[in-house]
Amino acid sequence: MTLIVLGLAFILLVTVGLPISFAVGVASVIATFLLPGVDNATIVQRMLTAINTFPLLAVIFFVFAGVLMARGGIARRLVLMAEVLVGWLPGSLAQIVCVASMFFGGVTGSAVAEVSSIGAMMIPAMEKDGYSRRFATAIVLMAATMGPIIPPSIGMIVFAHVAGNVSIAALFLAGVIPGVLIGVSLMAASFVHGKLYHRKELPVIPTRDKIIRVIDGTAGVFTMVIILGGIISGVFTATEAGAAAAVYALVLTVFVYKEIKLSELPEILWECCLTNAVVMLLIATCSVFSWILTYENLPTLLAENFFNLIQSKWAFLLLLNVFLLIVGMFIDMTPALIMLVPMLLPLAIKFDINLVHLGLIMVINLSFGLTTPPVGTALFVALKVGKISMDKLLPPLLPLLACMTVVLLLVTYVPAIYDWLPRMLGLMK
Amino acid sequence: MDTLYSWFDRLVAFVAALVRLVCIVLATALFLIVIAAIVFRYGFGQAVSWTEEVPRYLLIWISFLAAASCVLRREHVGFDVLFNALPNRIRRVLGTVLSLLVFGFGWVVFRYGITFVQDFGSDLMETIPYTNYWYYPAMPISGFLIMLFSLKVMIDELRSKEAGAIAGASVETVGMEQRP
Repeated sequence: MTLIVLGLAFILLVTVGLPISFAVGVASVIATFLLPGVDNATIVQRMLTAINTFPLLAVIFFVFAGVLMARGGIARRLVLMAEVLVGWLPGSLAQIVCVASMFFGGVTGSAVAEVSSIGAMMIPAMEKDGYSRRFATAIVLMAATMGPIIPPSIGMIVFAHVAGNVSIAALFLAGVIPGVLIGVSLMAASFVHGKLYHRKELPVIPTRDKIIRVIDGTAGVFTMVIILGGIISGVFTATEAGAAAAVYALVLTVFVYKEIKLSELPEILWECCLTNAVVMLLIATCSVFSWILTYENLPTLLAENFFNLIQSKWAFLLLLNVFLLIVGMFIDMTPALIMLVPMLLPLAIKFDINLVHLGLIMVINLSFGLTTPPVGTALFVALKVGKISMDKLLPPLLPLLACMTVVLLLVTYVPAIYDWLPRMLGLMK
Repeated sequence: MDTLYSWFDRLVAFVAALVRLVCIVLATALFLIVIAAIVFRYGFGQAVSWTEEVPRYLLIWISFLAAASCVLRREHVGFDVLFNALPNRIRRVLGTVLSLLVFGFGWVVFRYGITFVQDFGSDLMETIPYTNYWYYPAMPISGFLIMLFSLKVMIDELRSKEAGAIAGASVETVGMEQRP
């Protein structure tokens, strides 16, 4: 009964526009009046201890590295490099978007930054080259979903923290092949689109320029080598890898690319503090809430009663995907992860689902959620950058979404796709 | 009334600037300590014991201070679609009520944060000989700032013609308006 009151209070407050972290906080305070054994001082204590862990520091460092790269003109360089790599394929400019987004995902991990920086450059360029604006916007938007899936990924760090006992390194590596597969599926779609509607070829680039472009772009992509290489080899913890990536990004953008002035750094740091704070307050208040739920035994109750109706692992995985896609339509990735993981954990254990697998499925579904109407941050930014209305964008979006759903189903039902890489490197048993 | 408000406005702007400055300084320190820890471990072959602990406390300070600033900047992630679809009159009332709830939660964090500091603040840290008085106060101070900033949002709601949502859309767009 108490739980129903709490749940309803929370849902009502969020629906009318109270920030999720405060809705959770208010619901927790209500719980202190209704439940014996929970008091307000405990709330404050749990909020503090929730973020008092070293691995969570990775969030602010990866955000810092990502913001530096995004502001430091990395998008343009990745596009120029991608032109050398895939510009000769049919659907050339669309292919460039896919490949540049893939690399961008490996550098920043933010879908929104990807849409705004690659979109601002490529949508006008594609339109000039004869593509329809709606296709250009759609491909930029869909390619941006790779951001949170290809490491580094704030979502994965948050998942590893909330789930506990999951290796960030294994999650990062698990995201590589599915992320690249999404890119490849979008490239296939671009190939078909190019063959059907668009046969123009890009001008030939002189070899000297090609070499310069590849070197310039590779310098940016090297961030990913530092992060993954450092974590895999055991040189860095995930947090230290974040810090190292930030140092590299700092040197590259301030001293090599020279696109960020030293005087801009305090403001950039402040922005990172703000982003970090939004994530941390969510983690803090949600940890209080999930503690109350556990205190009331809710996750086990759900696992034992409600989900008894589902017998097979396959059916559960399917339902999980559908459920997450729907949640993702309405809620942002980070709060959804923080709130849902405690509920889904006992179920995953019951159906013997590897937690890395669970994390990956959640991150992929919820990054699709960033692009799907009615609510999707990446979608809104794309509409703004592409100067297009939602109903015009939907038709070209659907076939691309279908391509990506195939990848999602593959990841869900063919474990080798995600676990081959972490297993080979000994990060998963 | 207007003079009173303009003084309050200036006070809030001053506190917000102070919070920003403190966060930037602490974040810089955090960054340098973690880098120094790596350098010491590989460069000089010795791990320094407190380089795991102190960054955690800095993170707590940065997170809870900046979390209060996000109240002022209306950047805490929420669901603002329904809110924005409502008529302006209802939005103004609703926005004020929601700000009151934020204020109330700030009060809980402030009030019980003080109890928490009093009860457990004198415990020692793990690797260095200081007490928890050095970082537990982040909670009541953050609670106080949340109260102050939500009050400012509330007053703005009451005074403005066009009411705005108090929540931001996504973690990824935090700080975006300021970006060129």
